[in-house]
Amino acid sequence: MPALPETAAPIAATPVSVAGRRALDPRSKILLVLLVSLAVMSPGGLMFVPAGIVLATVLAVTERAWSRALLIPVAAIAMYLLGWVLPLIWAHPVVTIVAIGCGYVIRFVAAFGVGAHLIATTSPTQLSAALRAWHLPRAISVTLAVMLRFFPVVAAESSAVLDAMRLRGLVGMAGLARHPILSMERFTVPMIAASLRASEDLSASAILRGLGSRRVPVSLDPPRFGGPDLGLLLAVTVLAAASLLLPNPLTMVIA
Amino acid sequence: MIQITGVSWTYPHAEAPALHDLDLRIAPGEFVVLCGASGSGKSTALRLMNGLVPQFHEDGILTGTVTVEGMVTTDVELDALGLVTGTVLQHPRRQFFTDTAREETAFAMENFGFPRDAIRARVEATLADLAAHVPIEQRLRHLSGGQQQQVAIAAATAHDPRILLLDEPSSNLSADAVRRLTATLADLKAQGVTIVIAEHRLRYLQDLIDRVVVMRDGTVDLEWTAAQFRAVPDAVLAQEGLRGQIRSPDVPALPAAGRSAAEQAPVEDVPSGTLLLDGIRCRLGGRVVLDLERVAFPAGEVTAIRGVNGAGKSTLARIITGLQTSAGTIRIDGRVLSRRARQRASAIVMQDVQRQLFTDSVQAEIDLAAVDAPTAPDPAAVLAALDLDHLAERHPLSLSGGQQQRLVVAGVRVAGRRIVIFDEPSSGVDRRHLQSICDQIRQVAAAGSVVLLISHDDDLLALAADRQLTLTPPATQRQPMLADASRNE
Amino acid sequence: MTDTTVPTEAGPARTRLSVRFSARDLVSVAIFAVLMIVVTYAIGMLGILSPLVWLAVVPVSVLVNGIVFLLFVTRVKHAGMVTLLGVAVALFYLLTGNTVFSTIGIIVLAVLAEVVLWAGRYRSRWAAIWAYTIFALSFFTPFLPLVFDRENYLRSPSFTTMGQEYVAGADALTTLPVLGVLALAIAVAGFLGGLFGSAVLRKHFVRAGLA
Repeated sequence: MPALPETAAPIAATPVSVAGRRALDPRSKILLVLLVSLAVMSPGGLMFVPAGIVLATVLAVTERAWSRALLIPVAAIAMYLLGWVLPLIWAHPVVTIVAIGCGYVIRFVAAFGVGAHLIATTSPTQLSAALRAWHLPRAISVTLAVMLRFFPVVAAESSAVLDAMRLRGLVGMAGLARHPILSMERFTVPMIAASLRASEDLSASAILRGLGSRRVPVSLDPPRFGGPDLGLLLAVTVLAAASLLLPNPLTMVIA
Repeated sequence: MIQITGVSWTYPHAEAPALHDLDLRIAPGEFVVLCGASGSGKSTALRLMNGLVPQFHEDGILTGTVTVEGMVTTDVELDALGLVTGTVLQHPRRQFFTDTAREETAFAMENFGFPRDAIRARVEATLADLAAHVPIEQRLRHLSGGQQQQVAIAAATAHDPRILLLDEPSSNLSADAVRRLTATLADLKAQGVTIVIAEHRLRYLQDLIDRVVVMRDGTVDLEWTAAQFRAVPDAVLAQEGLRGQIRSPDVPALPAAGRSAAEQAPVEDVPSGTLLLDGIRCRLGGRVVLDLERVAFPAGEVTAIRGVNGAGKSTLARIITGLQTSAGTIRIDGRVLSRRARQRASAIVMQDVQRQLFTDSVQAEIDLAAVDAPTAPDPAAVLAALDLDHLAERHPLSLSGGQQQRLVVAGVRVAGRRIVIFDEPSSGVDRRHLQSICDQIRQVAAAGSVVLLISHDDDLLALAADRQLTLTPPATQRQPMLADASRNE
Repeated sequence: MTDTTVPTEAGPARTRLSVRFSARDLVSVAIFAVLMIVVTYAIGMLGILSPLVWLAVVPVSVLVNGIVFLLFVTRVKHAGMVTLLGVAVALFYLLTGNTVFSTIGIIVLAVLAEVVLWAGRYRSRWAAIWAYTIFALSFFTPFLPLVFDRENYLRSPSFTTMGQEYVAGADALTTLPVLGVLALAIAVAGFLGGLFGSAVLRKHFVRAGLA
């Protein structure tokens, strides 16, 4: 793993709930992501974006991921200013393109925020148990669970390679501009080599312990819907109703 | 029972076989240590016994047969072998699939489809045992190396395999953790579990072993019974490239002040070339992880940085090399160095050196390092000094781990960095390589650099360090991390 | 010594739609899927600066992922692994809030790429390059809402207040031909990425014994 573990912190710092009790069923979280993504990305989806942003922020607060809780509303406000307010002040073709982009990104911020909560709070074991409960094929449930486990590994290797490049003076806009291809190669090759190596022991140990075998796995804590899921359902209903009934800055004409 | 008959094995892309004509029989309940120098094939032999060779390292060439509990290892799937064997690889934290002791001990049983009640009972019993020495509510990555080792063994044996295989379990463990490991292994032996250990430190196992198998060049060189082994003096072990008793490093402490320093002492004389840290304070994730009022690292000497996981060793390295921002100032020769300037003045030899090999040949790697060298060095001489000249045209990633490490050190020397940090350079090496790593570290220091050596390896510290700085977690009461477990959603 | 409490009868599960991937195959697909996503996100982070930069970094992602894809192809052991890679990447993107358009698009493209590779018996260099050219079009899938849902993006209230000519201007900028050019640019970047990946493969991974 990382030579300097702190490098992994920004990506992997978000804690996962330990006991698995009194937490949302992973299936609820998956359904929630799909629901939010479908709502905000469909035609007329802007209507649901504010509700999505609120939901994503609250979820980040409940898992104490403070930086995300801050980042989501800040990003949304920035997109609002660039995409809705700026075109009113300054009419220019570039502003128009930026505004179209913002109309897309602001939807993505809402959906991504909810998705990030799923990824950050679900352990590989919980995810594969949830997917198994839906009878997804072994190939998919195992692969996604393993991916979840590999993310912090690859992220840590990437930032370690960047550190090493920094100490060798290989990072910087000047170098990137002068030798773009070489810069990409110098980052990607060690990053892939180190990640493959770091994943070897992990894979060997997991496969020996039956991961991905053709046996039928059993979950120690099978996913169960409970109180928190009911609470989530209520919150989503309230937010959806509010989206339909309350005035919305994104779809309202600013005078 | 394990039966290895006439086995030869060549790893994919390797030129020479790693094992040849290996014959070995291990009886039920036996406790066997495989030892030998790096490259003698002891870890590979271990991997024969759980089927990783040949099934995980596809495209290698295997002849001969291996039978484990009546199964020919090439005829069955890996999980069938995993069911009857438990494996603990060299770095426990690299093989955890989950982040908690509870999920980790349940993992194998879940995958093998044990009945849920059996899993629950076994997990609870295992956690109850572990709780004596391991804070089981903590995330696995925050545990010490020894605690991680305990969890890894518990996770490997939870499904009750009759064979336990361990690859260099004592590397990176403190003397205390080694004692706990010995006790755990004694328990397992008492339960009748067959235990095979590939290891280069031997004395700590002295009272448990039934047999020591010394390997050389991929085959059995000689065998000792327990009684014979006890009579073998350390000098003979040294000839075989083995490590005997773990040395305790008797190294003077470096004076340091601040909450992170385990022993406080005023910092007085500061000769030229010294790296002087003043008021270094660093917070990560809302927690103070390092707090050093004043410490001076002398040039031309090797200072060992010690301390438990979370004491701030890596943070200190990242601050000194300018990779991490912090409060305070860092001076060399009395001049304050900015973060950028420190990045240009420092080098780290990382634990996984693949991360810092950027080019497509050994020669190119050295040439790249020479680009920003302060004085024109002689790359050819450095290559020759580190015994790399005959490899100049090879791709760096095709070299052995030891050669890669030497290449990185060669680059550091060519670039003439004034601050050089070695991060765990000796994980899993035998006595001969230990000496060569130590020589490299000493040479970098002899060239006048400030050298910091982060290591848990007492043998290496005893050989290489001039002084030591022991760090301790600065926050006396940890943040309520344990309470986090009850968080909602 | 025999297994004691172990249910060995668990044996081979019912053979479903899934191809018989070994555990090793699944793990290998997972690591490459993660490499692709991390590379894409890492480079995409540069694009967070503004939507304009975002457009500019897309080809860079395409180019660098060429290395990952071509290395992956050398490790394919069974037919279906490229499809599985596509499915894994697509589902992961879906779970992190991307559109269903993307998900479906990526899977379809992965299947097409697999067909090309299969035609080259999985060992043809040119088949791998063309397969990546096809797969690289998955980087166009985030723009699909602009194709299927342009009204919604263009009739936003701010534009309406800006007057008719700006609506017309935005309209022209996001017409199908413009988006077609973007798709073409991505395909070209994909082809170059395939060549780049193939070159890096020979320069590094083959000589390092990793391919």
